[in-house]
Amino acid sequence: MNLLANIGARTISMLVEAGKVAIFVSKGVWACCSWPLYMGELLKQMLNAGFFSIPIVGLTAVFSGMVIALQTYVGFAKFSGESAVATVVIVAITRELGPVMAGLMVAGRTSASIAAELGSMKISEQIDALEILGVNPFRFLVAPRILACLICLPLLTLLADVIGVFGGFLVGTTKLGFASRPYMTQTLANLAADDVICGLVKSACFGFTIAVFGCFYGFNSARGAKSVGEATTMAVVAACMGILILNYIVTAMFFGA
Amino acid sequence: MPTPIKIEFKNACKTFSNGTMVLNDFCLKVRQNESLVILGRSGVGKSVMFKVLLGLVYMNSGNVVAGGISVDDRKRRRQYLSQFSMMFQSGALFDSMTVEQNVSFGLTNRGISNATEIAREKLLAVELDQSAFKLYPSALSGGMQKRVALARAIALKPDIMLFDEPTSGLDPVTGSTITKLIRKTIDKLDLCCITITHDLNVANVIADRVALLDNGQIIWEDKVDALNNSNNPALQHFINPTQRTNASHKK
Repeated sequence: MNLLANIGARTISMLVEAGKVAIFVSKGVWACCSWPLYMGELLKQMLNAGFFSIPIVGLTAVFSGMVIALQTYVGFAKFSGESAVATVVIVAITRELGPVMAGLMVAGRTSASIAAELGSMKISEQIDALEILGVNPFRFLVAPRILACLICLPLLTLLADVIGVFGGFLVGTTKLGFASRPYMTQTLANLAADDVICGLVKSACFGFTIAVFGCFYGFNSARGAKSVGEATTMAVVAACMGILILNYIVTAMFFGA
Repeated sequence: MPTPIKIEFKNACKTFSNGTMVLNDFCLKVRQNESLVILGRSGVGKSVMFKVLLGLVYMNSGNVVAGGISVDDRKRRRQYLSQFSMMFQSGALFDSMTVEQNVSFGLTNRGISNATEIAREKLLAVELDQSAFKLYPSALSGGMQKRVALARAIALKPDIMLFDEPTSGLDPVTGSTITKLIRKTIDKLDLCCITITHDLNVANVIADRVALLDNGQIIWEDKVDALNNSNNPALQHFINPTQRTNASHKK
């Protein structure tokens, strides 16, 4: 009986949490669509979520591309398919690794930073102060962060695609003995617009998820440093889970049939 | 003829989800141009009362009316809030903005064109040194942060000012300076003002009227002169808690 009660209580609490997230998302979306838009805040957030994420995303992408090239070569050599390395690298990077790696890296960096910043603002009553000054906290804090992540993640993904393919090219030509011109020709021949578009759609969804969970857990942080830490952890975990789930859903939408 | 009532709590009740009752049938009236100080021990719900007044925390029952507008009137929420300014216990200054931007932000948001000029004027009015205008809040001392918070609060020309523990975390000398500054501001702007504190010195300087909050209700209220002459046991205990402890020790 206790077990059943526990399961019931957990289910109810999960549903309550899901309801809170849904309400928060609707308020956030409404804030993105309504006036005023705080341009200064938006640029600041774009700098934080986009520009300052370039090194980490670039580094992840280049090594992912290098590993994919190496693993493909070793694996495909078993049935004399080594020549497919360039094809596998471009498809894997544009469809999956580019958007997912960029998403996970930005989730770890930006979602945590959003949750910690807003959590600290919440416990030091800065969010209440905004409201009393007549500033809608959703428009000033949430909307710029959502828009910044929505804009920056696809751009970061494009960058990750280019750097990832370059990583594969580097390993292919310097370590695996491919000639650079045929490698590039094969890469460009297998570059499909659908793959890139799918990656960009995914990354836009990931950007939204990252910002929403960061803001949600920051806004709902309780008092105390421990709560801010918990909010940060929850934001990263939820954003990463959201990214992996959305990755499957968008992939199924594009390639499921 | 008495001045009209500016703020009225009508049987406000607030119980948190963990069962803690902070406001229990709470009733209070504050008149225009009156400075009311609410005393109370830590944790009796003084800050929650402010949040209920501002609509930042929902009541379970009852109503609050300020300037003829109910806190529940969501259509007139902006108009309702525009009557208020608040000086928070922690200062609640925006970390990402300079001192000057902290004060001008609310003005800019209301479309006032010379916001920076007004902000500088208010910062000078609270006797903040000009060299601090471009600093970030983290670089300021506690007393300076309180001054900036006061400047931000008065910059919006509110009808109602709320002060939440204005001297908490300050040394006695700085605390006394801030208290005098608040009194000066109240006199100059002729505001309706509520201060919550557990510091009797603050009450003596700022208050026209004093009330004691306990168990979610106002259990005593009178003119500030009556503070030291009242026979109310709860007030006596609040004013001089050691007296009672000593007496019980002697027994």
